[in-house]
Amino acid sequence: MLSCKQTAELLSESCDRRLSARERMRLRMHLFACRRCSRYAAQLRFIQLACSKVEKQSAVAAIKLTETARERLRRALEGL
Amino acid sequence: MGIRLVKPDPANWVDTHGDVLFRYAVVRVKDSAAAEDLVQETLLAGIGSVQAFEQTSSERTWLLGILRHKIMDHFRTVTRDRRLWVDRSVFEEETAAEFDSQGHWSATIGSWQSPERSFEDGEFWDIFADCVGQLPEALRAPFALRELDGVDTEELAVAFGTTRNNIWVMLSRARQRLRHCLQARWFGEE
Repeated sequence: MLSCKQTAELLSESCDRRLSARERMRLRMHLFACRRCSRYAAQLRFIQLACSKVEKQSAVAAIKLTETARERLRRALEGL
Repeated sequence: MGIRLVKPDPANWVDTHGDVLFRYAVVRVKDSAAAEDLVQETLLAGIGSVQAFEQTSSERTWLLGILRHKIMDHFRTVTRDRRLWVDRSVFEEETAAEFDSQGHWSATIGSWQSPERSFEDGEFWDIFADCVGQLPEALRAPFALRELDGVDTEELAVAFGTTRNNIWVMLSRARQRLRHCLQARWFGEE
């Protein structure tokens, strides 16, 4: 039986690699019986979703080069 | 129906693509001076190989591809410096605090009700950016590449000079910290 600690690690790893069938089954069984880990799983999914949206946020979309930086870049590219 | 091929126009690249490239870089490398350097290297590399530009993608997509490589190189170099890395035992202590000796959660996990509604709130995004910004570079950098670009574990391990297992640990730590931060600063104490 997985502990919550193992479950939390496995949940995170499921975002980054394919779990084996055995791992998936053990995960499902633990989540079925554990409210905290189920909440944790949902929270990880939420974080992943937020990350997928972050670059479209107005604060991020508004990031620009400063005029100084633009000038510097233009000069670096001049005469090439 | 004809296809009009647009000739690459490097003279305008700073104006046309500068902001987009800079934004892309700074979100990933955090430091704006480093981001500017990467944009400069990218544009120079683009000029150097503009003859090879095959028009199968847009100019911007092509330049972003160059920038992506430059960013991976950047992390490879910075990591070699070892300044990027923090003693791993710090993260291990952190995990130990989350769970008791039986491996159960030592604290309760709150329930986030309708969390997607947060996306409509500018304040949420400020806090989210803050929480990510607070991560030590050793965690933030691989996490950013993983979540924003889907860079796989193998590539991350090479870029950060470590093993796949360590990458998984780092990503897990990043998510744990983010979860705590969002719980504390947005969703309310559990």
